[in-house]
Amino acid sequence: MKRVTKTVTTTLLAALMALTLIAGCSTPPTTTAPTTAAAPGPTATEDPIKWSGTVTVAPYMFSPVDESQNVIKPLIEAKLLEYGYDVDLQSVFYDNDTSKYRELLNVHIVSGDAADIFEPKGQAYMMDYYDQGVIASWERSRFEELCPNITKFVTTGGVDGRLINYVDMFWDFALIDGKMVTVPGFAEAGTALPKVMLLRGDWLKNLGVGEADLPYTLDDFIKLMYRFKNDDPDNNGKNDTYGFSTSVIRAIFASFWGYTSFPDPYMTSRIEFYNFDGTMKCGDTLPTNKQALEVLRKCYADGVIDPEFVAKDGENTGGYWAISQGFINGKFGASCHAGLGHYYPPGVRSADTEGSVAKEYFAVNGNRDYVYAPWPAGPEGNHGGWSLGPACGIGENAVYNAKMDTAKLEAILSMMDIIAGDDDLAMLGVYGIEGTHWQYNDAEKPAAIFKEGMTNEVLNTQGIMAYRAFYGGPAPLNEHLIRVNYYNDPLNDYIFTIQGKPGYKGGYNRDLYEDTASTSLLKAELIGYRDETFIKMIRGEMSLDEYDNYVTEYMKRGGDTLTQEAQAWLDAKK
Amino acid sequence: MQSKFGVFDFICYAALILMCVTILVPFLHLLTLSFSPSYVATSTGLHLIPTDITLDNYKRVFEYRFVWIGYGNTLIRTVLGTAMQLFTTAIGAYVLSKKYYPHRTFWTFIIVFTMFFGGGLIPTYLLVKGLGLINKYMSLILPGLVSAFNLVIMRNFFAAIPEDYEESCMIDGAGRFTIFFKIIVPLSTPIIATVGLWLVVGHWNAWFDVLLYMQKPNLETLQIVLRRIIIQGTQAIDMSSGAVFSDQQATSVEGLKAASIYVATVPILCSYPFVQRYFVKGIMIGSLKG
Repeated sequence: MKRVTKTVTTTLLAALMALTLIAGCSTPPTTTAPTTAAAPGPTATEDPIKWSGTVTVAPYMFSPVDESQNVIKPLIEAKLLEYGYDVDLQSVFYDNDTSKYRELLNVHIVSGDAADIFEPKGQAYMMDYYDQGVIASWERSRFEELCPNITKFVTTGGVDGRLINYVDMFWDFALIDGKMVTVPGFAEAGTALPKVMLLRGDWLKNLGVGEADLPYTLDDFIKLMYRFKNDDPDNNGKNDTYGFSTSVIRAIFASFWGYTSFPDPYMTSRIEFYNFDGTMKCGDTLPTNKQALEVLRKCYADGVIDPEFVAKDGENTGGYWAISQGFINGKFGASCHAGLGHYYPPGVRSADTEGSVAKEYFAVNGNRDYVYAPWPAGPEGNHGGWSLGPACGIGENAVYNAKMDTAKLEAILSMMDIIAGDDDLAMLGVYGIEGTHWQYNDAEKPAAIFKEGMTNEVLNTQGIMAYRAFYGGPAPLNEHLIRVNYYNDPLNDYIFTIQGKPGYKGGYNRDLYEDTASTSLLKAELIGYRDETFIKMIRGEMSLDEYDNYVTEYMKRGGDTLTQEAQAWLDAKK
Repeated sequence: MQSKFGVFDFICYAALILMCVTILVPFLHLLTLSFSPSYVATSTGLHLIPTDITLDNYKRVFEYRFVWIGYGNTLIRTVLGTAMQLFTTAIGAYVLSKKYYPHRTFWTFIIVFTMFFGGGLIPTYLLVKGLGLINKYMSLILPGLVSAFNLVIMRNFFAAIPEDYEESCMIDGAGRFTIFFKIIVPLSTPIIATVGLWLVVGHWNAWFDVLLYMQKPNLETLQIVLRRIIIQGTQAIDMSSGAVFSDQQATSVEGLKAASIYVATVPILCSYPFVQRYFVKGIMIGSLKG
């Protein structure tokens, strides 16, 4: 009896195990083809409500919306209802860490519950989503019918037509295989937070270097860096200072030619391509890099470069990314880590506000004794900082879930256009309520300034910028909004004044402004190989004679493929 | 006779002191930063004693409504999860510890085999979603309900308990459950406390499963909330977009990070003294006589 019970028990258990295994088998989910907008049809109806439904939006945010404090959602929905759209906007928060945002987005896409609108966070990812049928697409002609405001704004070159020369580029950004997948990649504020070369003013004073003596050439700049290293610029009797660190290394490369993203981690490590009379060349393999490496190698051997330049986050050792702790604490005397927008003093925007890093500098040093300096110019006169230009990240614009039906997609595009054409709606979605979250300054050209205490986290919690992907991109393409946000901002006058001095502005716009098919596959390895090689050459662990071998190996590892794709891209534009 | 303090003792003490210093110095540094304004964090060097004390960092952490929501969710998850996991692991381990259990080796192998691989992120998510557990506490508890590692550890402990205890209870008429709860469990407090502590710490610190399965802000746990506070302000605002951003960044992030660490860690630190005695308490107290 006991034996029978044992047999029955084990048989039952084995059967249960087998059932569990079989239950795990299921048919793979079917993929849906990208949604294509229908041909134009009759739109007039007697029903005042043109469309009704829920739209889920998953923009990149700093903080999730606290629905108990969300003041923006009811206002936006009420306004859209006046236009005939009864929409229930739902903000979905994935994460405020970009890499986790993307990871979670992918999980939701695979499981079929991704939001209606999301951000691919990179052009290469947008292309991948398109290839896998995840995102919707539509004809440009249909977009122009549904979105006349945005179409007009883009085709006339934005605010006051300033970007008229980039119109074709912006439309190109939005197309894959001739179909639109997102809104044209307009970013008037593409030169926002331009970089600047900063020098420690107290060190210059101690060394007797006045404004007239600021170095303009690379040779003079390096001489000054040597003085920062050897002449005890902080007057403490110790040889504990360096000339420069991570960020200035890029400026040295730029003094010769071109720009690589080495070694600054905040430049969203890219592989740059430049157009030399119709031939695309990779910035990582330019012959001029060798000259820059020679200068850097000597500086490193003489102790002018901070040995921690190889650190993962560059000059920032923690906290807000724009803080260069080494520069603020007097470890090295030159930095171009942050932008002009981080260092502006009180009085530029208002009496009480100043650049976020300027505040830190003052807290540590008790003064704002830093000096803006020209970029060091190399033998051919080349110089500059990182210059993005209006060729900005298309990957920040919204894409639309392919599972949506055509009616919903067209309704979303129409609502997006309504917001772009309505100044009040645009300001509400991005700035919030006037008087509560922001106000105009008293200038002749009024600018919108966030009120004290309105950090991005606070704003997101209350629903501001919480639906940004619903507007098509980071900000609605509304002329008034862009004007009061960017063109009228007194910070721009301050920046233009500084950059207007000889030698203070410069840089290289990249000539390949879209990711190619192989970028996402090859970028990580090539950048890793480049960084490792350049670091070894600077530290003297590898001879500069190996540079040509490095170029050969780089090309073999995929540089060749990317160069060919870049060339094909350029040729297609002709 | 008093033993002499020899070279070996000196080396032991020196090594232990060094280890303590290695642990205490970062602890004190963070404690100081948590009570200091931002410029202290930006200044280089170790800060072991606060010179300019401020409660702003803690104030900022506790003023954030979601911190309290997170605390509540974390407590629920930790208590419920630990209790359920301990119960299921213990009863499973007890069964497998019996030599007379049919095909014991086979079932042990099947369970241990699951330690060598996992389904991966997406299949696990699809499974949890398919079971309707999204936005439910069970999504944080059920997927890892029985850890093979903990089960094996407990099994080995139960196997070391002499069977004479059970036999003597059976003679007195006790059933299996009575034996387990009234004899085995009291004798197993060291292992239950140890595994329980691992589970408590695991639940308290877990965050990625919350990120994945809890999609509503009022269901988030403390670690998620604190992680978000720490990431805020360190984000490199994407300068490639035309997005509108407020330039009022929380630059005192290091102090905030430190305060967040203490807010998350102190409850666990406080629970250790209560559990520690179970580790050193011997078993077999008042055991078999004669």
